[in-house]
Amino acid sequence: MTNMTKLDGFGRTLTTAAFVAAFGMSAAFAQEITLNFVGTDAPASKEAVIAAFEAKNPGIKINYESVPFKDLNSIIQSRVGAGDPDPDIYMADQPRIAALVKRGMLLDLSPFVGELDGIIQSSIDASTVNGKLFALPISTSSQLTFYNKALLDAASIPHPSREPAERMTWEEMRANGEKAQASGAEFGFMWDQINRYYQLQPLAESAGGGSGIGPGELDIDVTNDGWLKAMRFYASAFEDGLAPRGVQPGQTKDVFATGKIAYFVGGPWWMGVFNKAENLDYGIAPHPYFEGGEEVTPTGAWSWGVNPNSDNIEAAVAFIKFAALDPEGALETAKGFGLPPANEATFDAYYSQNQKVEGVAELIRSELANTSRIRPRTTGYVEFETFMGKAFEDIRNGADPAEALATAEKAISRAWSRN
Amino acid sequence: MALRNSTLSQRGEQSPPGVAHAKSRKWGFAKAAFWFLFPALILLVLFRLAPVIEVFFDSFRGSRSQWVGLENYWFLLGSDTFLESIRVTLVFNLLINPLQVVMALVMALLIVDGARKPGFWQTLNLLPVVVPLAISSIIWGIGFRPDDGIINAILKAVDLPGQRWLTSADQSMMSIIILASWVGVGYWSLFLVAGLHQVPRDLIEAASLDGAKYWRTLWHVRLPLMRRPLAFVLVADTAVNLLLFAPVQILTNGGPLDSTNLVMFDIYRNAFVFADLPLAAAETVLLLIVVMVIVGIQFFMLNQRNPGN
Repeated sequence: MTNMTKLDGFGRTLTTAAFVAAFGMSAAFAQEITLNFVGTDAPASKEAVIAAFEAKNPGIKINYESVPFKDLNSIIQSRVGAGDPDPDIYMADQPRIAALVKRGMLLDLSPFVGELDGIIQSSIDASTVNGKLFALPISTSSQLTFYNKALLDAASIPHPSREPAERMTWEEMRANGEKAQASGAEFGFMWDQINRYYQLQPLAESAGGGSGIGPGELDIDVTNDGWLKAMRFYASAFEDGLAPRGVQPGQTKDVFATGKIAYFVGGPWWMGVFNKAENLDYGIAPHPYFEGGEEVTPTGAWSWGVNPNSDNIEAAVAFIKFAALDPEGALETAKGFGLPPANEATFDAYYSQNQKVEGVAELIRSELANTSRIRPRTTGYVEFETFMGKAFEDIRNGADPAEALATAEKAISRAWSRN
Repeated sequence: MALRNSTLSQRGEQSPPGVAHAKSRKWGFAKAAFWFLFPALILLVLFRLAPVIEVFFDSFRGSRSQWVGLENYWFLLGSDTFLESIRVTLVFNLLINPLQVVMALVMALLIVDGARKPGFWQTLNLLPVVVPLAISSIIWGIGFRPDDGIINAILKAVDLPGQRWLTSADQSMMSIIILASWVGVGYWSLFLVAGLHQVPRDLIEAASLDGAKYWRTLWHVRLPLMRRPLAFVLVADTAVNLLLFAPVQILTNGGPLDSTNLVMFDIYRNAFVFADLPLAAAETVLLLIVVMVIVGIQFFMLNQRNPGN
């Protein structure tokens, strides 16, 4: 009998505990919203801004999911494109925004935001379609030349200047790369996103070939003399063994980090990797141009947009406004970032944390102000980028540039005819 | 002969109640079988048949779901990219399937007849299957790199010239075949090992008593009895390889010069990169027809000299 009483007492405590737990939790669930956010950045880089937002907005949790860059667009297409409310928020690749809007995959943000003070104009332009803002600019980008000091010294090649006015030409870089190879470097020079339009657009632009699209947004011209000149130069780098074949974008930085290559034209976001690399002493210089041609550097990066089918549109908009526009939030966003921020108010904080290499901040700011060119804004960008990427990879592997460009032009026009 | 006749006639006398009994028993088996299969059938209909039917109807629609008749099909049949991808897919399958089946058979024979510790070799043989195809693709991709990959390093170490592998339009398909077979051979040999174990020992013993040596027994006794597992492996392997996708998406994007543009990758690109779902649907229907024709031919040929089955 005493045993029974004991059990009863124990049971009662349990029941009470269960009750409290159940009610407590359901009360919390009733208030709590979870926003799903998909992007390509490492989860660690999002922790600061998410924590700051959650602290200010109790009841909203943000669940960030990181996916590979290569797969982002097909993931967004298969989920948002199919009408799924998840993810609520996603990173939108700026040149694809026009195509995303055309497919109804981005929420029109103009009713939610007023003037965008202090945001880089090229980033606003890249996020605007037909005068309406469809995503909030978060980051921008630029490219630099990294050089391996030991490999240049071994070949008695002087270190290039950091001054944009004394920018190296591609011809010079190639000649020096050959010299460095003769003195022991495995490779002469290479590009970061080695077969992507972002990286190679400036070559064609500098050679006078234009972006490849224009004057209308669905007019293509990648078979002109400028494009041919740029692609012949690109092809010869691989044909003559200055740059390696078969290395995928994302693997290229390791070739520089392991000291195998004299020059690497790439993103400043790799400096973190290079600073940690053993036995790598490197310097920076401006992005090259073709002798006698225009000085052009790549730019454009990410905006954050909201899924029009999201169940929590208000909360989702609140989060991206906080991350992009709120002075405190934007600072948190810029913290974990490899890419330069699009919000000018955070420039100093961002660049001061990246000052390990002298002069990099000044150089990036100067390029963004003077030489950067965004990728063409066209609803046909996805097809354009895909078939151009294929052409670049074919050219890199030895296809005739004129033939590969003509094939791409034909394939792009044919794909556009479906619209 | 007389004995058999008498048995038959005895059975014949009992036949009316016996047949009825057998019928109801058969019906009972069928009912039980149906209910046991029911969950699987539901899944089959929901996740296999229903999507196929949906894809079939989608293939006649345009980007705004309007009815466009055969337009998507005409577009595909007029597209060099699509026709080339069909050609590439067929050539790929003509090469990879016989290769994988023969290698899987050799592997199975080595494990069953040759290995001291079959369990150990079996595990080793199966290890590549455990690695997700996406991961083995990336690892092989790095190994295949022509300028600094380990495969060329090995070739050069034994004084052989380095190869272009995935970066050459002439070698890229072969490279994908090597990669896919590294995974596939181990998996398919699993079924053939099971098949070899099912060949009755007394038949093999009888053959050896008659003086047949290893190869003769293999050729005239064991392989004919392996017709079913071999047929299964060939048909299933063909179906898998006609739908191969991951290594292409990860390593070559269909290139160089469309040399690895398998239809499945082309469908993926149309559906998920270009968001052209109707075109991808039409392409899927055409691929399905190709798969059914090929598998049908295989079934027909494998069953031809085998009335017992």
